[in-house]
Amino acid sequence: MIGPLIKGLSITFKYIFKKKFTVQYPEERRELPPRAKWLHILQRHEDGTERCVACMLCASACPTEAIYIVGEENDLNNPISHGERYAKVWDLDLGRCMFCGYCVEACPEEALAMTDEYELAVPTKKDLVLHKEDLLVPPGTPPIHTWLGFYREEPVEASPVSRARELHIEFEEYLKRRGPKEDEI
Amino acid sequence: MPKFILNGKEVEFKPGETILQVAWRLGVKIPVFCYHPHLPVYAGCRMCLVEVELRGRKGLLPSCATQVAEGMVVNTETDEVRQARKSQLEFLLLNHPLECPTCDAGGECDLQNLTFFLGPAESRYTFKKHEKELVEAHPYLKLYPNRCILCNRCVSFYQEISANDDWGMFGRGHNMRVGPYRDKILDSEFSGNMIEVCPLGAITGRDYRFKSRPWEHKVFNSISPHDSIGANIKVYARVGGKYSRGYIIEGGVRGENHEILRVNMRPNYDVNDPWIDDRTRFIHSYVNSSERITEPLIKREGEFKEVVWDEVISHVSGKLAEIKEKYGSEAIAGIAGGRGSNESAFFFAKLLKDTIGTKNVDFRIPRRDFEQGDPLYEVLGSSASTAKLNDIYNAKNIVVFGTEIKETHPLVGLKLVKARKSGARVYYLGKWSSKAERRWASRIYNYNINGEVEAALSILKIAGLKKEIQIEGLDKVSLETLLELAGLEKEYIEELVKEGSLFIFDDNLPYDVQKALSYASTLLDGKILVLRNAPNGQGFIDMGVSPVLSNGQSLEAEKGLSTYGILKAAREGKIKALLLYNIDPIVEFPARDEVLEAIKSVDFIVVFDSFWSEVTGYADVVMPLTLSFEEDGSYTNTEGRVQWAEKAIPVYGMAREAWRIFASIVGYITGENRVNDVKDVTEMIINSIEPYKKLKFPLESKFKEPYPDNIPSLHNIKTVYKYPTAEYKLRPREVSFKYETGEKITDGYVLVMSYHLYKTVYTLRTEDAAPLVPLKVVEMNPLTIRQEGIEDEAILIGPRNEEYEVKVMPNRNLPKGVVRVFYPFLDYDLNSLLDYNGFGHVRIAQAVRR
Repeated sequence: MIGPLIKGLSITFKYIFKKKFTVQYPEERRELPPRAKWLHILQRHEDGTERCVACMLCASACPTEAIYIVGEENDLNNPISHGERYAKVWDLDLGRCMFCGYCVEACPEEALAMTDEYELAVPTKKDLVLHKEDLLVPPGTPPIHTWLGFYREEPVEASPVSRARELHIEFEEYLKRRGPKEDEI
Repeated sequence: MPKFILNGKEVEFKPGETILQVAWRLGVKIPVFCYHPHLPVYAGCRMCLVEVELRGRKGLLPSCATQVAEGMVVNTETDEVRQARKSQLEFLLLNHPLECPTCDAGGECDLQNLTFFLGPAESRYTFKKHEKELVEAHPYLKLYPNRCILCNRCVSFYQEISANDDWGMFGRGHNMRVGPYRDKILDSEFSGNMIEVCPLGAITGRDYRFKSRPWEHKVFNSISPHDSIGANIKVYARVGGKYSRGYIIEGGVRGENHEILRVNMRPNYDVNDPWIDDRTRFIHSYVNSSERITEPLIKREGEFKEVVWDEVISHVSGKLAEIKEKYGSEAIAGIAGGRGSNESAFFFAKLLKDTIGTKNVDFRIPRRDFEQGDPLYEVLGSSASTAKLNDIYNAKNIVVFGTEIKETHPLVGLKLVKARKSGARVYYLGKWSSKAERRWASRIYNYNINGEVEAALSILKIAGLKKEIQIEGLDKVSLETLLELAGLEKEYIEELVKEGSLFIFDDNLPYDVQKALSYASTLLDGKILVLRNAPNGQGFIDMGVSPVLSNGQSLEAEKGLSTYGILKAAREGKIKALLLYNIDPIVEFPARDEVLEAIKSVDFIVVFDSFWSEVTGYADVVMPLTLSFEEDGSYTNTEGRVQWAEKAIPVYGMAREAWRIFASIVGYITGENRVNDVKDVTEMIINSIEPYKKLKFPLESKFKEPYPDNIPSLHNIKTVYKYPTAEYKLRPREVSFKYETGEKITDGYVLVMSYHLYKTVYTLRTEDAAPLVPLKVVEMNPLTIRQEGIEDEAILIGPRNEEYEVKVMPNRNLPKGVVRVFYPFLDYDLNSLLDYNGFGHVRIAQAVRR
């Protein structure tokens, strides 16, 4: 009878002196990994305009049909986004969302990102529907980069002149590496 | 049949077929950009290159432009062909901007799809892309020249099919661009077709721009509610619940995101071919107009009170039964607008004719001469056109009489262009003629403003002289008098009166004109095509909404009152109850004062309508109706083709289908069982209306044409729709004329009522049409405007010195003494100056500037 008791208690004593897993949640928070996929945000450009152009790719990528978008034409004098259109309505139903992150992957403008904000409980089902105003970050928020190297980071700006100059510099570097040839001296 | 070898298999072909046609028919996929099955071959995109070997010579040829020859060896999938296509695609993408996320065509773009299937993933082109300026060519169109790949499709449609000339291709090489001449606004009623013809998103439409993606909406097959051609359309509607795409909420009230996003053509080669007009395409947002009636209302103590449907129906039924008992059934009358479905018209006629027992029911305009009966029935024994729309293509000699086709039935214009191009002689006789007529007419003759009847009678007279037939009533008048009154020369008429002519005219023309032309067509072994002005005019006649006919081709035993007669009887106090179905006589009929007097002297007015208008103020009961996009139903077009339109969006407010309301009233009065399904009503029609007896239900049939699956811009053309026609029986009769000479107006200005494409009861209810609607506009000859010294705004002064402030626009095509006003009169009450024939007298003065 003593044998099993010692066996059981030995496990208890083993863990008493180890580091504790339990987190005192409301007072204490665990650090999440950098690519945690929780609440979505809609990002902004550096100049404060919205990144979203209402291309609806996130809505069509969404397996649970949680995203609803209505596009509208931009006023060219006072544009809301960089494209010709912007999202007049951008709604996300968290009651349907399963946080798969397909929408973020689909976004061609890096407008949509997921954060480590995981405290999403609300008292009513209606509050689970988040609107554009709730999801948009304030201007000046540091961007979260979501492109994983599928797309070019910056647009390639190359003109015939600069390409020729590049070639010229390359050639000069080559000459330097090679050193002077005998017959050229 | 001759044979050739396609991809190693021996294949039969018909002489004259191209490689592409044979290959597509057999399911071999060849990508294309510039090829369109209904446009002339351009062979400019070079996507359809195939390897052709003939008599030892081998090379790449465009398959869309190469006719098959005996002994050809064609390979569509060699390495060389694939490489050529890939390089060509890379070439097309050189200057194409990568803005698919914001582009409207994303998801239904040929370039996107073909690049996905065949194209290179990366471009080797590192230079700056060519940038051209955006062009707004039309209030409804926007052109993005950067995206354009110069496939020439829009230009071929615009120049070859619609025979217009202000859109083309300019410049050479790198600077080549498509667009309007000198950036002017397009003068075309078919410009919207260029959106659909464009293989990518270079031309986009205003109503759909940036709103949605092709995978987000559901498509419904419907019929154009704007004119009686009954163009087949696809209605793209967002109908889902707010957070779920794809589910339709059946029944219930329309939410804020139940909207019609756009309207596209649906190919039906019997009716509209693959084209529709701009009015049909762009004017659809009136379904959400703020002027719509939402609840059934009863006027109590001078104020409208909202009531439930059961109450309003029992109230109306009780009241009608009471009036019938007290004054007899002749004291009840009904006027319809000819806009509803056949089912609704059927029950409207059933309610008035069978249940109440009155024959006073009509949908035509209140012309005095329509009291005599139905002009076509008088001649042919049937009130339908003898020609089908496609007979325009077969006719050698076409006479278009008195109808401004561009303003009322634009699609007939496209058919006339095609007919003229294939060698037919097309004559136009009208009060005046514009550029639109010059597109298709080989000869244009203008008769006097008042000489409509004389012009038609002189056609009949010459036809009679040619056939040596005495026409009763016309033998007393000499040809010379007729021609002089009409203002025409004898040679003109002799030229156009030919054996087997096709006469095209509308049903608002004077009784004698319609009768004379129908008679002339029977004399010449020709045909007539009557263009009904009411969108479902033919259907309404067939269903018996007529004081003389019970079902389109059999006469009523007792003649009732026509619209003119009803209004006259109402003024005399003989009409006690008036049912107005989808019409506002005050703004849609000429002679406003007389109509208003008639309306005021009726005790009990019931208005069934979708929109608030002037007559609703005089109504005792108002009932909200659904519009054609909100109900299922069949529509008969002007040639007698019975077509089915699907419900696309939920109903607005408490509105109900008209047939349901009429059926409830019938059920309430007679105690019959109420009908609850529209299909039951259609079956009742098929069983009881003579010309419809051979129709089979359901009315729709479709078949697929083989086109490769990955060409989105041809996706719509793949399925072709066919609808059956009603069968009318022709019984030509002896005809006589009671000819009286009309009065000629010589002094002052003549006010003439006419139509405008963008001024209808629907376009005036939506802001989308605003840039094109002539609001408060009258048109005059520029010379007259200068003579009178008018600048922009003027005052029209009637015979009793009443004044109307209007905008005056110059129109070079009008005769000098004419002021042209546009129906309907929702924006100005100029119709009080017009008589029942649509003419009026007016003086004009410059408006004082404040």
